[in-house]
Amino acid sequence: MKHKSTIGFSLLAVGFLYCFYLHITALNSLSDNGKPTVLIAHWQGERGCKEALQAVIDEYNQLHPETHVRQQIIVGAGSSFTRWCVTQIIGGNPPDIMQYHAGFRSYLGNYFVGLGEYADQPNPYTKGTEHESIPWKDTFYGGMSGNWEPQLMDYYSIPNTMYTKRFYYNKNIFRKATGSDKPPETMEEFIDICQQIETLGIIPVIVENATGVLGVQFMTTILSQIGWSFEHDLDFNHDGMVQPQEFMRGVYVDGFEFSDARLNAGLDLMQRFSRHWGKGFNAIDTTIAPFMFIQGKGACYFGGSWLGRQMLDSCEFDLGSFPFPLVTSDDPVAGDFYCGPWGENTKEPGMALAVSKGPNKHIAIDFLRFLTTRKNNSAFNAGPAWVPGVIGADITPAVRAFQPLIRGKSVGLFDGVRSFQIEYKRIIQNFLGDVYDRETASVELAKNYRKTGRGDNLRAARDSKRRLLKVEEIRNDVDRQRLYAKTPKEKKLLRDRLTKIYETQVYGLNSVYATFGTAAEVEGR
Amino acid sequence: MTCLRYSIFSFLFFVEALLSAEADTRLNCHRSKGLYKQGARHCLTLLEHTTSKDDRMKLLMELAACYQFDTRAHTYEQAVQVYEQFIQNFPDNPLCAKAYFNIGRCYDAFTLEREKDIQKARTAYRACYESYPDSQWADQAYFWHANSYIYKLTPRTAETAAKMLETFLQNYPRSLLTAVAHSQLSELYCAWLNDHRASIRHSEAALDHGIRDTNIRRLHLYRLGYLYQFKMNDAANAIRWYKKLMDESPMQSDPNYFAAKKRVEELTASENSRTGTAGL
Repeated sequence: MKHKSTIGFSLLAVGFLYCFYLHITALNSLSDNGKPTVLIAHWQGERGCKEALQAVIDEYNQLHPETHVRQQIIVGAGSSFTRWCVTQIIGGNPPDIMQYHAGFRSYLGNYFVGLGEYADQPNPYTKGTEHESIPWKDTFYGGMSGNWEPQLMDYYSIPNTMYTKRFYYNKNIFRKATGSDKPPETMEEFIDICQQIETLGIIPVIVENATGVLGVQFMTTILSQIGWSFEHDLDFNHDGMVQPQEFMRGVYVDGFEFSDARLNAGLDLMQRFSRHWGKGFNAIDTTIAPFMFIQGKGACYFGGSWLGRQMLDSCEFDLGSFPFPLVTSDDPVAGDFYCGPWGENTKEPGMALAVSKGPNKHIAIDFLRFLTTRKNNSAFNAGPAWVPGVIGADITPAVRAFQPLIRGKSVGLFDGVRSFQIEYKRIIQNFLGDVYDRETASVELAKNYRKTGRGDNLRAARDSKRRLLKVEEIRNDVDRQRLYAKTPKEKKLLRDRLTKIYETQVYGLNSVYATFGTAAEVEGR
Repeated sequence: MTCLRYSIFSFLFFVEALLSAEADTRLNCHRSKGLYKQGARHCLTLLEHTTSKDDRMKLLMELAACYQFDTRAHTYEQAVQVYEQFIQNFPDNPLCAKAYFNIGRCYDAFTLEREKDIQKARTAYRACYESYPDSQWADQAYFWHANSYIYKLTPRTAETAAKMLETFLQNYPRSLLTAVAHSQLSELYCAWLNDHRASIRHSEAALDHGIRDTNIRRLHLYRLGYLYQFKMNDAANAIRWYKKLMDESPMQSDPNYFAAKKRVEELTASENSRTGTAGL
């Protein structure tokens, strides 16, 4: 018995010593030798990502031996990562750079660095390249529009990679059906190819119901080609975009009808195309659709660049991809309204990184500048085979088809109207499932927008007004600093900052007040 | 003896300075972390023990700010009371302008679009710019007073606000808000008053006075191109502004870049065919 406990205690002691050794080794590996250490926390565990980021980090550490940058992956893209970061933030020891997550939104103003003043300056690491004199934000696809935090009137993260959507297609099926694997460029060509594929008894396009990626994308893409002219009817302030409050004003006050010929053409085209989506597509969901495609049950599948690696590894056929085909002015259904191609020039890159307020913030920002040069952004995205977020960065051949198409214009009409979007999806499902004809669908759309649009827009406007209150505090603090500013340079800087706050605050409030005004007018009738 | 007294005095001064700096840091520290309630509590505790006039002023302003910006607790009415207390206690202090201005902001921005609150906001704004015309808040108060008429934006309210903003430009020609006021007037004339000529004038003035935000700058450039093309039938000016928009979006990331490009091509072609210079 005594012998057994000796063995047990010995094992315990060895285990303890081993753990102690591991702890010391880990501490040594994290040791900064007195240098300021910048920690990057992110959740990207995809193959190749960690290694590619480490290569850029190593290069930076070599260039700046006085500092030390390191990364840590926190597994769990959603809640686990956010929980971990928020715990660190509240504990007063946040990582210097964190992958941005919507869960940080309420912490941004107090714990993260506003990056607007840096984003407006050129990136010093781009000296000698064509990005040399361009503001940092303009070196990204979309000009960092997706990183703008309207409630704080500032940028709080820097993007790194792009996610675009394309049709994946089975080249073998295309060759068998048409004699060629050349992808279609126009909707007419696509529909023609679909008809030829159907003769083989194969589903031309696998779609996860009308509320899935393709169903939602379809109208936006079509409207982005035939709806430029909506600005003549609905863009009251002529900024080139039809904002939700303008659409609301158009419908409730200005007599815009859902039976508009351009909307009808979009619906007709969608119905014509949906005839080739395979029977019962409304019952297929996002977990089934890609597997049906991988199994060769369909010729095309509409999905995102994030599926690229999975598709390449899983498909046992010749895989290709092509962008959503164009309508063109010859299109028999919508050609009369064709204005120009759809495009991705305003598409917003992802994997955004935010900087926490702390002693190392300047090093953290400097590292982000280094990471987002054309060369380093290419190197980083090459690892996991992602599309680079920096304009002009080299793209891995495997995902070249997903490179953003810099052209055209994006037109959306029902954005930000939540209850109506639910109704919209229901109506489209019924329309494509032949429960509604086009006239009934139009009537249903109008009826439901009139029922939900006012309330939806009012809710959104009140939220927006509440969010803008943070700007009040920022403005108040800048005003206080102006009282104590001594040098003319300091005074000018604060004056400029205050003016800029006003510019964006007033712009944001105009949308809110336009909604309140239109709602009041509707009520008064 | 004098030396000892001097040393003690210096030591006490040093301790006082340290404590005051620490208190200031703690005051800001609470609010900068979003801990408004703790900030307010801290200010109230310090106010009980502080007799210095300067410190009391600072504490009252910070206390009011803690109440005003605590959007979760919705304590703007308490903020108004503290600002009023400040005005009552220190009527000759120039910071009363700030207090009046912030009372206006409390009623204007933090309440739910109620007419009686907006009226109170206007009274406070007026007190600010009429009683303290040279303060740094006078022009801001006048600007918000004008904008308070459009809290429900319709053609009727837009007209009232536009009139007052035109007066603002006359009264405060060197205000930091000149470009913003021109920008706002351009928006009101374009979207609500259907006066495209006035909208063009104010957009051009806004750009001349230096709109800082690149997105809003580009918005004005596009608006000018559009209004000249479709409302004024002036192809030359439309091309000029569209081209400027393209120049200011070198990476083609502006949402209107390609629309502007297409229109420049179309307008140039039609101008060429009209003047018979095609192919030259």
